[in-house]
Amino acid sequence: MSGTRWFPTMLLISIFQVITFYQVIFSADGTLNMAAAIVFVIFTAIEWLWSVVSTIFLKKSSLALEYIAFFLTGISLVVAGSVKGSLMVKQFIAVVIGFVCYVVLLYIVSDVERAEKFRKPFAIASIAVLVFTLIFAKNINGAYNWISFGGFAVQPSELVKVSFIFVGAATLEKLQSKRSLTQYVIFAAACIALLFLMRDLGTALIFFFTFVVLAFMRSGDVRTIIFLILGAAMLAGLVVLMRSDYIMNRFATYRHVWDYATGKGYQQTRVLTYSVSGGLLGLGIGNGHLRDVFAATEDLIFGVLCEEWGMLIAFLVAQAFIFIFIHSIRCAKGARSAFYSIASCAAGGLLLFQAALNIFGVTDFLPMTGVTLPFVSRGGSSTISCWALLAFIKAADNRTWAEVKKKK
Amino acid sequence: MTNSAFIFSFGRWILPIIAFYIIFGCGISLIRGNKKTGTIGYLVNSANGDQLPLIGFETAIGRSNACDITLTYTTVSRFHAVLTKRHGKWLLFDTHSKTGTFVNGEKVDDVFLHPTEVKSGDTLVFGNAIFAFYDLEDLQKAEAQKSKENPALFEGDEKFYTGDIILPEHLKTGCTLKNCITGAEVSIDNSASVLIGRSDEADVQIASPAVSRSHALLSRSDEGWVIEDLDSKSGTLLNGEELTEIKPLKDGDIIEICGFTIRFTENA
Amino acid sequence: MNRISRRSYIMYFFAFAFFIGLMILFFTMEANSGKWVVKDYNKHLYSNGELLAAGTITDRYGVVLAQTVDGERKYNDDYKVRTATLHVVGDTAGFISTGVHSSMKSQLTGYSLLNGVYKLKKNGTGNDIQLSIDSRLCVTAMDALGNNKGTIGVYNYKTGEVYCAVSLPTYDPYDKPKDIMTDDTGKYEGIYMNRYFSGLYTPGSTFKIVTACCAIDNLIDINTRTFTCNGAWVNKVGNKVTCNGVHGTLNFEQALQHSCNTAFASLAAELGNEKMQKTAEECGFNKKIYVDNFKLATSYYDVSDAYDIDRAWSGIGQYTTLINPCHSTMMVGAIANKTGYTPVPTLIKGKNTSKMNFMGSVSAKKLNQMLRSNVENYYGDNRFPNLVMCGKTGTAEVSGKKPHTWFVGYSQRDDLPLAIVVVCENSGGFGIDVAIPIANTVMQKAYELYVLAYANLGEEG
Repeated sequence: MSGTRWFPTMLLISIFQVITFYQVIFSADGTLNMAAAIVFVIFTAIEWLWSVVSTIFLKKSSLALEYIAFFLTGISLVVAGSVKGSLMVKQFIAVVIGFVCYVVLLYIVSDVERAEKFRKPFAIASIAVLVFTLIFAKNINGAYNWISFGGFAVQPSELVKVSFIFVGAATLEKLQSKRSLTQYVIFAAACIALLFLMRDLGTALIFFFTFVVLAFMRSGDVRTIIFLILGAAMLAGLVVLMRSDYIMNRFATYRHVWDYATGKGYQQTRVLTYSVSGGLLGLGIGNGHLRDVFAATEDLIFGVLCEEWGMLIAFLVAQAFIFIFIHSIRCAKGARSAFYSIASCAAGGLLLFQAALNIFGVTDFLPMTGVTLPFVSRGGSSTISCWALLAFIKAADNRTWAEVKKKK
Repeated sequence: MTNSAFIFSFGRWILPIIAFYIIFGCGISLIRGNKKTGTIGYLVNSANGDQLPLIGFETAIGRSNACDITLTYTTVSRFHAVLTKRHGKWLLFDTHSKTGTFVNGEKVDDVFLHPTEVKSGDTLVFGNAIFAFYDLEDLQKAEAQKSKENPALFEGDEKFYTGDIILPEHLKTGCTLKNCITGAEVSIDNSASVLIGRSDEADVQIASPAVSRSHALLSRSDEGWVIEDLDSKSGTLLNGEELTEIKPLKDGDIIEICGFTIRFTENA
Repeated sequence: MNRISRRSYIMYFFAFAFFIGLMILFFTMEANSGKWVVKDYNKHLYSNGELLAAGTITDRYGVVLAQTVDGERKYNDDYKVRTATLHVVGDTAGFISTGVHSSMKSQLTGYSLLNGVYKLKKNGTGNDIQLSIDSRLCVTAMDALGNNKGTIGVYNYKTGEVYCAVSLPTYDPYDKPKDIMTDDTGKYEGIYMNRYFSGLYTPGSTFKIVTACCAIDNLIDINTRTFTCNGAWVNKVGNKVTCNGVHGTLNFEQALQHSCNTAFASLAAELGNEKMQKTAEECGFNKKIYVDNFKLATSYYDVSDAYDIDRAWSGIGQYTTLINPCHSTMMVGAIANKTGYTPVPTLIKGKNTSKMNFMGSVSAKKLNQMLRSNVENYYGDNRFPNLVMCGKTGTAEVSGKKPHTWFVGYSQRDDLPLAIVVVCENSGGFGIDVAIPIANTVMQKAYELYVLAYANLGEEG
């Protein structure tokens, strides 16, 4: 047996989503939430269509990755809907765009030669977008990482994540003929520096971690990597010295949130208290109080899950990222090209690291950096980039291409 | 109790169970997924018949041990070439090697990374290392037809059918080895290497128990012919001196192996 | 390619680290859940900082001391019961930290890791708690203390249940004094503290029990010794510990009866720092003792670097020595049990608690006999009719103020296994005049409630 049995899995997902969406569609005061109902119908249709087309018509054996993503996405839609119907619609539009990006990116990387051609334009576009953001961005919550286009606010740094990996991955012959990491190091340093200037510390850290994974996968040289990390740490230390006010503010409360429960530790203490209030089984969707805290359904989503959905489901969601990551490693080992191997490991690592920063950040195990929980947090740009990143992992799975090859 | 509350009162038990089945069902399938590709082709060393499996879709070839196939020839660059299968086609890239890569005598582009397509049975040359390339699928197909259609394609039980070895111009040379005592002569053409030893596969076979199976190797480098001792038991003498490293050969040089005295002459 | 793939093995480390992190997170949450859930900003439990929904708190006979009615926290209707039990029940805002409202918050709210606060939200109330205290005894005790600040604690030395823990001053939670924070006359001093559990006092003569215990343990001839009291104990360089009288020649038992400072100062001086310190620590000084969910104030005794004159003062309960009233009842409980063991106190009715050792059984038996002799031959059984009391009074000198008066003792009746402590802060006078009548009032009430009303205490248990 190489894949999940698609029908029972899809059925379970649908049962789960019926129960959870029900609580949003028919709210406690007896009104019917039409928007949520429509979203639910379309979302379920997309899920089943994708399963049926892939399994029956394209004879794909493995859809487990999509199923986990569907499951997490369903949770994010319900959480958004439990705040406001219109937010659910917005989130759903992002999911659809993300899913389209996923399919398109899967097509682009299906041919590594074609993918290689996209690398340079992607690299230039990434830097350009980040520079543009830095110049024109609005200051939202202390970070300059949002750009709005007539009503729609996007976070370009989220989208650059995708091209960051795209640029970092390379085929074996490229690696052999140009083994120097220098060009990529310069590109990565530029991206990370720009994010620092935007005061988007969390994303900068994610980029740095992804860079380390990519650099290691490319060179395989532990000494080089340690050297790079030390260099970066020294540079970071320098930045901290120069801009101590901003950085130190972030770290002042770390491991002392209970002493600052009404001040800087407000969010973390609320997350911890309300998380345990929910117990293992949760208090029911919409019955929590954490949702009244700022950024509850974005950064603090893990606490909302614990409180309203129960700690069991919240920790299962966290566990899902481990499965996705291990899968990305497994795929990397058997991938058809070094390009897929490297991209898959980097994408899986990015998702896991981001999940770790989020979950351990809001619970005061790590300093809080204000990053989102992949797939689950509410937020258009982040949802789109997560789905797009999934394409790298999917592309590394040989089963994705098995049938296509036979047709030729 | 409202409907929502009712749904929740049983949902709070059922949801974690369903979530558990979904996450672990999919998760275990994810962890198990993606079997390794395994061997999908072979490179056969024409000098000694070594079969080097091509594992996975991309294979790096070079002298560095960071490569998938490490060739310890002086004429092979550290990172010499990449052989890859994409969309059912085998492509050979030369990754800016010094001595070049040749497919059936044609040089592979080493400047712009344009690959050359290779087919089963083609001769691949890296520096002066000569290999025959076989795709596993083709081998299996051929094997299926082996008995009925064209048994002549195969030599004995060998699973590789022999194609012609096609060499690049600079390797189309040969040499003559003459036994100084008996006067017997062996002339070898169109080969970049000559293996001396006791084994049947040796180009020059010396049937004496003191001689190792693979005793010494004469091979063609850019500067001309060279000789190396293949860690033989009793050693090799070149012009009366013990061979400890690779040495160039000139016309008239005397090679001594366990009392057999051989004179080397390069063919014109 | 295969070499590149092989590099991905190292990535398993991150997956492993993340998993371990999740485990630690989960168990940290599990371990701290009771503590975190009861934070006063938790809107599931509190409104404007007041505990909203929680279970009913009753005394050992089911008298409601606090309950939630229509989402509001109500206390007992009777003013006296409210004020007498306030420090045990606690306020809803958490000022009284040893109060049940604070120390047993998570039990009261019915919080469990599995269900969270779900049951509380669904039923509007949490778990009920039946306390071991008797509200009638508490009221009697409060009345007996009268205008004194101080505390009375009554504790069953067989089961560990606390029957009464009254602390004065107190207030009516329905009518909290407005000037409670601004007053500087000292009339509300320590009003939020349950003195029985959290108070620390100079023990005065009640500490002679410990000195006597040390003497019994270490001096073989103690029972045949005589002490000569000329009104003071004087060391070699002429420093004095004055006595409350001139007792002449006394044996060991008489020395305790008369509470002769000369005798006990000389004993402490003779025994030395090491032995005194050891016995005091065995008797529970400098030791953390937990009652249910909170810690008793830790009694303090330190003569490790003391000169003989300081040690002599410490031997009669002065110097830097401090004792917690609840601890003192445990100590006499260990004597009353004649084994040196006594159960750790609890406020929950019927809860089994572990036993704690204070001294050897030989010392316990000897002290039991001496404390009985105190009442029988010195204070007089007529001060404690029907009770077969044992005990020791104390008058603790406090610098600049009138002394505290103490009585700590217990009834030897099998059907009334109660130990009592009475502390009247700065009352002046002597323990025998001030504290004994108060103790008798409370013990007579207990006798009336548990012996006269029932055949014996065990049956009503």
